Amino acid sequence: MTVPSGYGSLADYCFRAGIVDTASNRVDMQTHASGCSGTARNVKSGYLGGKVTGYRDGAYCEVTNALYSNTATWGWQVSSNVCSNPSGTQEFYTVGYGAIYSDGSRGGTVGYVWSWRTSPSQNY
Amino acid sequence: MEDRKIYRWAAALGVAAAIAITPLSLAAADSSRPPTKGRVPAAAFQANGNLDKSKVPDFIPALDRAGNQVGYVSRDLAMPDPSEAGSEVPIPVYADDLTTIVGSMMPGRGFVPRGARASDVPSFVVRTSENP
Repeated sequence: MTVPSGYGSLADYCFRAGIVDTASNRVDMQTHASGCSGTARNVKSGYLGGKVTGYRDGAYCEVTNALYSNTATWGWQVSSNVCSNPSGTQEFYTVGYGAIYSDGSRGGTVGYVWSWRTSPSQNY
Repeated sequence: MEDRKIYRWAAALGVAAAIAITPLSLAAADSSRPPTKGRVPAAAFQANGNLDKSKVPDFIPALDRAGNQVGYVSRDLAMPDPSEAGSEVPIPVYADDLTTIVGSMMPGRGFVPRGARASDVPSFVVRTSENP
């Protein structure tokens, strides 16, 4: 399987980490049948979970609690602004941890994925 | 459901790791050198999506909510293996000597100074969404 840039390399599942405006760190867990595209399937409530760690200029900011889906769904996102964002240029990283559980023969999987972005694009 | 049990994030493992990974135990694991400290280099984040922890110092600077450096956290606790990533155990924060504990990093709250109650530190906002 070819893994798109910024996507986790876990077969049959898709974990994505990202950073969006104002240094919001996020991680996505999705159940696509093939990598990060194609048909997704619903899993039970509580079967998708994630937590987000943030780094700023190589220093550890904070980490969220692990939060699990509260409905049957194929995708779940956890996001938070875990790093301060002062003026000037910084480099932000997200390390997102995700878990996907399954009743079927695929079993469950746990993994991490990371993403990064530099400011000043983060400062508005 | 068996799979779910197998892959459930293991808080117990996190507890064990928190107890086992200290500056002393790091030194014992590699007695030829003292623990290293410093920022995570960009090179640790590899293009293939892996984290190369061999490029990361033993201890990483830790920031409080305002962005001030408050001490150092263990690399192995800050960057756990995925099977241990579900731990909700606070991470000790060490002073510059890497021995004195000055507080802890609590999931969902951030830095809690030594002697303070976790409830004194407000939790930060975390957003969740379905089918992002």
